[in-house]
Amino acid sequence: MSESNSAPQVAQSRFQRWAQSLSDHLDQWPAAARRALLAGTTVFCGLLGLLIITVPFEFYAQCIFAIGCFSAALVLRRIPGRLTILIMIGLSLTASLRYMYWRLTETLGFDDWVDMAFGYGLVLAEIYALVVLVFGYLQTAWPLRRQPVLLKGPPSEWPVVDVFIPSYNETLDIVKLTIFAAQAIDWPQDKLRVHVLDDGRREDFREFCEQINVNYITRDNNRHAKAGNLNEALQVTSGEFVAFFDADHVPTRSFLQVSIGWFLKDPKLAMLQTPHFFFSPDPFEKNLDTFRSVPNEGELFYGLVQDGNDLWNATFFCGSCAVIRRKPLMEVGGVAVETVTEDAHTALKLNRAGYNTAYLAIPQAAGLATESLSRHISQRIRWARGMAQIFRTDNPLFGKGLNLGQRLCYLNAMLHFFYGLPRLVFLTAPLAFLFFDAQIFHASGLMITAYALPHIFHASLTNSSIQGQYRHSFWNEVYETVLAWYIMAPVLVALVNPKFGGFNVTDKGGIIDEKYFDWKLARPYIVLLTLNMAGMAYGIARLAMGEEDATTTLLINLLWTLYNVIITSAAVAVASETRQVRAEPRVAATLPVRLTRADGSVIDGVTQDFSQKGMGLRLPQGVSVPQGEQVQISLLRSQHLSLFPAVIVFSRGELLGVQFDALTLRQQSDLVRLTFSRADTWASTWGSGQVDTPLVALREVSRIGFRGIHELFKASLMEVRSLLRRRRVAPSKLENIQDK
Amino acid sequence: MSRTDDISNLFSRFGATSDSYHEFDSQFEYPNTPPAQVKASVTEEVPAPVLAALPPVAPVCVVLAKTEEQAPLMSTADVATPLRNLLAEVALARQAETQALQAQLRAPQCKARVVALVSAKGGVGKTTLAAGLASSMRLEGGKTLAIDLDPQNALHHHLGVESGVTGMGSTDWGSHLQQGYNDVQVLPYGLLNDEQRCTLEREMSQDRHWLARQLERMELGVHDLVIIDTPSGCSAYLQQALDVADQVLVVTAADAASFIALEHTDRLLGAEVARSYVVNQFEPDREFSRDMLEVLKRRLGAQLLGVVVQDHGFGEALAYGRNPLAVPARSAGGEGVLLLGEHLKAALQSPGVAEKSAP
Repeated sequence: MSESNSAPQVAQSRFQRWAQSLSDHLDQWPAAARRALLAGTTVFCGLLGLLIITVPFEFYAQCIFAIGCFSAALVLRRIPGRLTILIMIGLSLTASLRYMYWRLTETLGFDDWVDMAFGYGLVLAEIYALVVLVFGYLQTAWPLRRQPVLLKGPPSEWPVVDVFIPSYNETLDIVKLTIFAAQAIDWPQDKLRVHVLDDGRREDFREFCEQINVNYITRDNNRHAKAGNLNEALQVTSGEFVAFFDADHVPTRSFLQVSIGWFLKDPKLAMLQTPHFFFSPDPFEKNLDTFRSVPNEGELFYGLVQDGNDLWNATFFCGSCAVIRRKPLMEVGGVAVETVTEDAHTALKLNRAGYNTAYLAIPQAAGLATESLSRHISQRIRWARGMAQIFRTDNPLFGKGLNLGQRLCYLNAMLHFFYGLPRLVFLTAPLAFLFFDAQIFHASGLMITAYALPHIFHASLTNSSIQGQYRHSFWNEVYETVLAWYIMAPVLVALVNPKFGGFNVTDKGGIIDEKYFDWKLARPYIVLLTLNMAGMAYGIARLAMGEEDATTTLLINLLWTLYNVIITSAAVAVASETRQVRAEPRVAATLPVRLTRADGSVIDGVTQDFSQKGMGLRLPQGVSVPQGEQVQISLLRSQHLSLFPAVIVFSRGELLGVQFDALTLRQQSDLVRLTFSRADTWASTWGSGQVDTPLVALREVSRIGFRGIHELFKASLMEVRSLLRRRRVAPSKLENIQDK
Repeated sequence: MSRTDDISNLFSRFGATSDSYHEFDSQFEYPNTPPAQVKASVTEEVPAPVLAALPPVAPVCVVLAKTEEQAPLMSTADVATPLRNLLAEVALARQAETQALQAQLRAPQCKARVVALVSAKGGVGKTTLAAGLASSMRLEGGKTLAIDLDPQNALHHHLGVESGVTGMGSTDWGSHLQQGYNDVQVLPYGLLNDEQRCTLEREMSQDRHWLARQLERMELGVHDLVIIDTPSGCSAYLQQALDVADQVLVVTAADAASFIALEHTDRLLGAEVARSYVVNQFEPDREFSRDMLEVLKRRLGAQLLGVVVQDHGFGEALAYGRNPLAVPARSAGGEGVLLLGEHLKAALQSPGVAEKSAP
């Protein structure tokens, strides 16, 4: 690992130069001596660590130790660089492992069965959380930050690439965009073969593909859903590489020239994944109004986790926006069909077969996020179930071909989806004491504070430092809380019987006609919220009545409950579906544009946003065009200027909304080339979000929590009112959770 | 903003340049669906009413021209009264002064869009193409001028203008414009004897902006379009044309001689001059011609603006004094010219060009 791989913007400090000279010096030692030094240091550190973790402190000593460590972490946090991150991880591990050691050795002397049931439940949940925390550190401590390798040879030497666009039930309007963009990828025309794999066998698709000269592939069954569809197409195509795009993932024109280079450099490379980027808000972002201001659920995975996996050569295939070399893929039997997350499983098989996988953190395609909460949830259920299936049928800890790093990365990806039950345990644990007076923690309140707080604070602070750009503090809890209830059962079922259940697709691009509250989906969080609020009220009452010996414990549990109330109320807010006005989400982008009015005069402006069917424009100050006028929109590309007839559908001051008239196929293709397939649109918003500060994030989550309670209150009122009028509010149901 | 911008934006994110990037302008065979064709024809009709409103621009030129021309008139007149002489002197002095002032203050500015057709090799159909473009292209709300910088003095024939005696040599171009096909205003090269031609060429070689000044004096508007035909190879005329051109269109044919001449063209134009190419006299039914076109396509890449097929209709039209682009008789070659015109227009109107020429 060269220094240039780590953050290049940090100038080398004196300390770094010193470390460099030291390592240069060590490099000159004989190999045996170096190995001995390494082994000695490891053993020494291990013993020292063991000592630090296990040495018992009494209350004040523990407090002083914890404050010292935490102050050090707070100072370190301000120093940028990978080394400080590693030290912070060390401190966090110290605090957490000390806590766990103390927890397991000192706090488990339960008095009765109730205590024991609750107590052990909580401990197990905590152990799970700790394991995920440790693996998470391992995964994300040192992201590889791979840079693209550019193609050197002339285009005549470039390989043939098949582009697969599998579709099942997406509308042609959405898939069209992807097909046009795939055609427009900058690659020699005779070496770029676009195939639409239509499992829906729809006539309009066949006709469209025929018109624009794209290969259309169907099969006579739908076995193994998407994986089967891809495998079928692998049989009838022959390119050296295959690029995969989901029907709603629109590639940029530079996709192949950016991603193929690594394959030519590394002959063992079998798969290269690029991020899934979404140009429409997911239900969280939409309902909480946090689009582009708070990193979304996927951003952590593609911003950090995959990059971290890449260091261990354990990048997963995510089903879309990726390139796979055909030969190794055929060697492992094509796309895996044993589980419902065929993509990750395929990558696992490729890694097992000794091939490399890579991740390139440059968004070179963008798609539609799932547009309603119920669909979002069913998608996550599928992922969770698939991961549990792989865990059962092809556990990465066992079997041939993987190194330790790969095993742990894959394992963590699977363990991550088991959060359902532990999350629910954390959300209800303090209630056991508040309601039933269960002593789940056999220790004094002060001792708990002295051990547990450093564990929690260090973990939050360290994660905030590592992930700040890609996930804000406390949002992880919100995301998990929303999904916990729903993925718990499928994961457990899949663990018991991996064969149970079918494949469900997430279909996208719909309109939510009116704002509504998704009662059915929100039910679990409403229950949790009510329980926690009741617990809090009860606890406050107990505090007020003055239970002498339990004040600290009560306070601790009340604080914990308050935190749970904030998180669950934010989860409730997610269930309040806001209106989605446009059927096609618009992409914000500023491009120069020329508008030719009906009388022939010409106005130069810039776009505000664009979609397949229209554009938002900003004209120069003081210029406006009335609504309803027929105009021509021209966008520039090299010397070819493309004209698009359009009509003004909205006009206020210098802001215009235009809608394109019926465009010819060529015009549609040109429009896609000039807008969606631009190389830099997605990359420019990537990772440029606001960096996390835990306190600001807490305030934001609390604000959203308040809104959630407010929405819930309003919705309840409406419900009561409509109940009185005997009218039914249309509820939604969780769609195709387990269809087929 | 050029097309490569998004690539260089992207590549600069990981510290690379876009040099190694290849752009492919793959053309796909799409059938034209009817609705948009209807639309296209509607928009083509739009300019028509605008044309009627054009004349107001022209008279201004004429008025200005008169004051200048009166000076020599008066001096040659028999009534050589002292007052008139004095007045003429004053007028001349003022003229010289303003000219000097103009030259001092700024490089001449021509608001109109200028397209220069050039080629290193003769016989590639430059003049024919210039005439075709001039008679078919028009920017919304403007007029089109065809200026012949080629001593062969042939352009006006192609545009249906009978007399080509006066042109280049006259001091006032505005008043010597003649009406050609489709209302194009033609300025022939004119009939010059050797001495006159040498004087003209000397003037050009001394004043880099000679043509620019001439055009400026015509007070053209932003929507006006000037098509310039130049002689083949290196000449003072070419330099003048390059000085004013917004678009330099290199005319080449799909044959070996033209391909060889491309090298020479590059030297002729220099590295800075942005240019686009048109392949003329392409014979789609000959395999060799098709192969040559492919070779040219690879060599020129995105610079290739259009292809015009070999069309004998042009020669015949010239012979019979017909407009080859007149609607009923329009041929494949004519279509090619119209398409080329569209592309040129697009390139001229592109925001990038506007930005470049604005400051």
